[in-house]
Amino acid sequence: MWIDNKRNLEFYIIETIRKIDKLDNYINELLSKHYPTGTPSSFLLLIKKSATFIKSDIVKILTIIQNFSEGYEIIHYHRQILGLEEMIKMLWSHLKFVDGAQTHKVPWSIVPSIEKLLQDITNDPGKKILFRPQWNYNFSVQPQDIIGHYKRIFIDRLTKLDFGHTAEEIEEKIFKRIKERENYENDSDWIGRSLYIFSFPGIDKRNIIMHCIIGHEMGHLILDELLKNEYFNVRSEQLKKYIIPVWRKYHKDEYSLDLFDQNQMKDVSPISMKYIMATFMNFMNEARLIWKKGLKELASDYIGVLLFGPSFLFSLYFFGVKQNIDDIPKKETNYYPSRRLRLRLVYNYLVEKGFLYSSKIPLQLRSNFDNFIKSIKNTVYNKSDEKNINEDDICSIVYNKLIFPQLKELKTSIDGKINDYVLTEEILFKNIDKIIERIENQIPPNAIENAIDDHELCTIPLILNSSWIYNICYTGNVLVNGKINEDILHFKDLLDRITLKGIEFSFIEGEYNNYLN
Amino acid sequence: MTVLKESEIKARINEPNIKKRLIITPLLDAKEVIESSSVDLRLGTEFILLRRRIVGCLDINKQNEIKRDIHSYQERIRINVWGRFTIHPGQLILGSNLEYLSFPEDLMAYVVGKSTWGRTGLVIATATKIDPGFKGSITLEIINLGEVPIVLYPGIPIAQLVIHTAKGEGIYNGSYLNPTGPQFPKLRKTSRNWQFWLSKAR
Repeated sequence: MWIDNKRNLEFYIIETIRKIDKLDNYINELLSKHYPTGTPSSFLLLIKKSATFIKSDIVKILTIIQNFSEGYEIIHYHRQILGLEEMIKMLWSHLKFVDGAQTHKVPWSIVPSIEKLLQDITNDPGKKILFRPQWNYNFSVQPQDIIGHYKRIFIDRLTKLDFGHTAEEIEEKIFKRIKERENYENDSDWIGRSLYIFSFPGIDKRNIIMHCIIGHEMGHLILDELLKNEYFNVRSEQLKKYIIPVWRKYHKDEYSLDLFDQNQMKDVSPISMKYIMATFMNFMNEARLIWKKGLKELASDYIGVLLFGPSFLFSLYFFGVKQNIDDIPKKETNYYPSRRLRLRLVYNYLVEKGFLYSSKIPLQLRSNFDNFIKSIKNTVYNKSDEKNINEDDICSIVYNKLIFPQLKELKTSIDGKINDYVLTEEILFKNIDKIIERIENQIPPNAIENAIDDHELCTIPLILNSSWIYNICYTGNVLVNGKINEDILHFKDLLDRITLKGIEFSFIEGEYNNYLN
Repeated sequence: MTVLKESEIKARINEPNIKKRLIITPLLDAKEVIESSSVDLRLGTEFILLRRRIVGCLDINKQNEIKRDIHSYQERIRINVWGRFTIHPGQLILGSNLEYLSFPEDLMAYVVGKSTWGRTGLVIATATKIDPGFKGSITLEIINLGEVPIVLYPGIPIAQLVIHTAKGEGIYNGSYLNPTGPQFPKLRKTSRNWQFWLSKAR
């Protein structure tokens, strides 16, 4: 429905301008808040610039329509206003990301470190993150880069308006470097080339050791760079080859199928043809979704293991061991691989890499550590998930013929891509007794400090692994005289706090050392 | 009770036994911060601001309300490294030092403001004793007694630690356990030491 008279369109435009003013006011309010990095403020300034640009076009339209009273021109400009209004609504909806990224809503110590780790691994200092809580109990990343998304939308829509905007002009006026407020002057204030939204379960804000799952989310971004879109496109034929026999098995109209196979489509009745194509496409779509989701999830888990070592398994175990851990990938489960399968593969990677049964695990911890690993082993040695997959024709083909062999190939590419950041058994266990000794004595595990001149910084993975290992090896009783042992709650709270402090200190000292050098 | 000088401070930091070691972490630029008889402490990134709200007053005798009142009276903020914070004349804020400290049982310390800041009218700390066995960051009560606003930057040296030996038995057993930033005051006083005086107050 289009507005075709000037008066109504004027009212519509005024309402749109009021929306932009509201957006601008809220941006100003959010700019006065505190954030753990410069990224949220830079993002706000980008939104502000975009809104200002859009507003100036809306005001131009308001001026132009004064020459008309009704008819085609009014409808034409109403269409243009609608496009601009949609962009404002999108910008408004993205403020929720910044609102959530405020310092007091996130485990702020880890945000700069995670952003830097991602930049280092992908060799791109222009890659930025927003880290925010979500009400759902889930970790996630939006794999779509928001800056790129904005550029595409703005250039597509704004160049189609009547004002002769060019892509270069939009690039220059909206996306040129945006600095923060005056008190931030280093390069990290740049909004960057790309921006990704990471979400964590808000209820676990302080439960910092669970945040190792972020390794999996980082894995998605690293994997997207490795796979590109072509990866799945060029292998579609392979998928088709495997799916046809499965599809045929379910198809009852043998006669039509034979004709279809013999390329004698003209002899197939139109109704049968439509049915054949529809069922085939259904099978293919289902298989493609299982394939893409399965491969991406499992390969991202592998990256999580490489970056975070055993701590990734421990987080995944507590995160994932719930009811229905054997569910096969289907629409209802959003095509996720079963939790038990993920856990088993992660467990196997760690065994291959020598983490779980290492002789270097400190003696005093070994018994509790082994018991914990044994309970995970019991979970993954039950292969009911595999049975479920093998009983499902599509899943069985997709997993056994595509996902598992491709995962093997991908592992080699992933190893090559992030080799410098891989946590090895040697790195993890070299000084773990000293790091754990610090935790045991309630000291943040930011460094191994033997003496003033004998000093080694701990990386985030090392810190999180040490805290996890100490956590699972804690020996206190959960119940004392039938009541919850308050000491355990204090211990967990303290562990969270000193782990977060350790990560913060490690980041600050790393930056300080870079400055000195 | 003896004040530790530079060589002894270094020796205690280098002590191999973690329980006897004096820990100041991260010790950024040890050569700069360990002075002849003190160690410089840097300003941390967390602050508690005091705000005027609809709280009539803080009355420690109204134990049921005090915890809620304290939270509405104070606000915790965190400034980024490379950020800054302006403290206005007459303003009181709670801050903390950046480092995490761990004192063995035979050492204690006093936190002393740095004269550079003192001369601008900035008072850094009032409750300045650190007991043997204390672990954590120290809450600094920072007041600008000068005439002009002062800009503070996290990480700058703000105070100094004068370390003493301590003899006999007794370690820290206070209500602030392992703080990792400035602490709200704990005004819920239930011990006899307080209750006698409060219970009959009119």
